[in-house]
Amino acid sequence: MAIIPVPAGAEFTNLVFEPDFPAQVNRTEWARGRKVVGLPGLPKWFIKGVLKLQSTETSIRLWRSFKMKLRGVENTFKIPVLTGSAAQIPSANPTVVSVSANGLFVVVSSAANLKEGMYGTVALPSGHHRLFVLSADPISTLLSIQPELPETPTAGTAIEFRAPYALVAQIETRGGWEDSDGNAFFAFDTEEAY
Amino acid sequence: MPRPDATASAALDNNIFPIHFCFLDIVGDPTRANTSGMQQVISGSGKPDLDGTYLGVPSKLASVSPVKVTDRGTDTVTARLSGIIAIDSASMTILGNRANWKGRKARLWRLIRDSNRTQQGGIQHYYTGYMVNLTHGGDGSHQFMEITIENYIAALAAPAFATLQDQADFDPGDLSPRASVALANGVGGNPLTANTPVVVGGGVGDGGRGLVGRIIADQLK
Repeated sequence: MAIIPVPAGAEFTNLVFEPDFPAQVNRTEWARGRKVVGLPGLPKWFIKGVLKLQSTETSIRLWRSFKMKLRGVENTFKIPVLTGSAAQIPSANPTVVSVSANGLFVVVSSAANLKEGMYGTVALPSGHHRLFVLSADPISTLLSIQPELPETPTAGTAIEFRAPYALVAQIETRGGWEDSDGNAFFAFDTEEAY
Repeated sequence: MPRPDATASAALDNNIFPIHFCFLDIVGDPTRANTSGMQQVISGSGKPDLDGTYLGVPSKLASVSPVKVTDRGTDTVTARLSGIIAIDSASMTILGNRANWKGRKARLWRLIRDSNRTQQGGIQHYYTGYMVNLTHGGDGSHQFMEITIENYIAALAAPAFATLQDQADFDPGDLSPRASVALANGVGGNPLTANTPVVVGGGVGDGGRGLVGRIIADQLK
């Protein structure tokens, strides 16, 4: 499994984010009450998106090559989660200082320009890259995040806030493109790959 | 199987996010895994089997079947391990030696967490068994090794298929198995000396009384 580099200047649109939190709901028929019981496994991102593509011969060639290099479900890639090309924050990426045991709180070197709802991506020791969302405005340098980090990143690891992405792989073994009159259409249906 | 303590029981009134822990005592490759998706380290529990590092996203342990408890013990529990032949050759080598797993412990624990993912109450042990069998299987979508786990009641209650003929295994001086075979064959004589057998019945006067008749006739002599 290799991480296939996304061609430069990639922008996706019509992104659909479906974070999946494993749990079951037990409902009572008598009183219509409900109770949630967590199921095994980590919360996991499912992301669909369409490539915003300049229909030039060069870019279609590069993306066709990219799709083929993914080899269906085999290889992973970093899908950008911002639809625009502008950076999410103007300042440099902060680094990890520490992470709470439950993985829901991260202390960073600087929380400048960070706000609730922003995306972030951090590399984990296992080689995975976890996408998360800030679930509150930072308190000093303490970030509250969702979903949790499954591992503690090495202290000093930079968190990608400028151009966050998710490390994903395609779900279907058949994943290609459409081509009509010289316009190519690349769609991606992916799941987080850990 | 201990019940949840008071704190854990109270937590059951609200949403819960339990974690299950599994420990397979395989020689050379003790497997510890948990279902939370995060690595869990347990130390100082006072239980040597429980202390250890439980991997969150285990590459080896694929699944553990539910535990069904009845008054005759529990139904067979199965643990599925990743069984890709080429990649898992190290595991295959370890498991290929039956002494590395057969009859060794497999244990399961459970921990209750509340919505804040905070532990409620102690860690509850709910199953201990012995790994008794291993199969390798798979289909087009996945391959696996399946370890069958029996608890001690099932392991001890299994029929031994022993008969009177095995008596000598337990009591080398006992010759009753030989005597029973000799009698059934219509052969008398003292089995202790194994001397020349005396054929009884089947001759004149047997009158077609059959085996039982011949044995009775033998007794009456």
